[in-house]
Amino acid sequence: MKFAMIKSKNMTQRQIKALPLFAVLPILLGIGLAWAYLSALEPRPGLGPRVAAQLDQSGVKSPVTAVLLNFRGYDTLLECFVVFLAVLGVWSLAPPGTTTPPREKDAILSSLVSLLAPLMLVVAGYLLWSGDNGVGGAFQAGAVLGGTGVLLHLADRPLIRSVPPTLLIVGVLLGPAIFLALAMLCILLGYGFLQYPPGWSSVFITVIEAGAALSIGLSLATLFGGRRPGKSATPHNLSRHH
Amino acid sequence: MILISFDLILAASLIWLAYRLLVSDNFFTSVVLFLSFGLFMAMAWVRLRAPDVAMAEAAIGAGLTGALFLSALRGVPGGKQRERRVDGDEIRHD
Repeated sequence: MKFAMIKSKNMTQRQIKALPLFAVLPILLGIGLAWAYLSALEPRPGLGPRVAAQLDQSGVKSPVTAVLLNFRGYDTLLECFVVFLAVLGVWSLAPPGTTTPPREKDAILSSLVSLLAPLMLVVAGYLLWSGDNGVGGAFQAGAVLGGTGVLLHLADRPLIRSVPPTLLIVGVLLGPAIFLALAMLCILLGYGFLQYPPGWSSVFITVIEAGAALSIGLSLATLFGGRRPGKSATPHNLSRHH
Repeated sequence: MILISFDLILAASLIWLAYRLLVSDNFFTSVVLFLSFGLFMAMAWVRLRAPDVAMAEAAIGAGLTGALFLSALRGVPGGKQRERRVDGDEIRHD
């Protein structure tokens, strides 16, 4: 009893000690951000004009997509693999094939999700398509797809668990693999790594974005509800669940 | 003028939310504050004229990370009773 009291007292003392730190850090951050904002107010030539000058050759109309998938495609390629690494991390920590304990069936959530899920898929497709011209792109579309997967999981419609393990691995790897394969294809065609052949940029970017969106969506949903595809993720287990 | 005061309120709320979620000793409170921080951050990105980043922030920062945190709360000691309360709240609001 006494020990517990001392412990809780120590905890509060530690927290009181930490308080100024937590107060000072955001204030410093705020000052830094304010300084960055004020120094950004004075006009200085950024990279915008240079991007705008090259935009015609990029194959897309949106400067953001042009930078992400053409001018700085290498960064985006690595980002795709970072998402894949995150999935590998979850798979190596989570037990194979185990299912989460079945929640109580929630009729309202279930019917809401069955209304929302098709709509979200359409929104994801639209975002992917509109990435070439304006706001949107592979990552945003993938995020909406991932959100759909999470909602389906919460509504006890376990999308990820019902996908066959081999197909799941193929789906998660598809985006990075397509990206890397097309980057290598550029070398084979006599251009540099990720240097699209003239006139083909648009096609290359569209294919890469579609694959990346699918894989990002599947990966994000797998991070939430997925288990390592393993022996116990057999149809036997799935049928027992329902 | 209105926009500048909106920006100031937005920036102040961001700092306040960040402070609150760091000093809170309740994990569930921290997660909810983190979710609201993500939404405010998305608004800040919109004000900085970066709608692409705003969308990614709202979807990943506020949505998916929050869902991951909530499901991680189940594995944290002491998070279990709160997790049941979360479920009750979800049912009432959905």
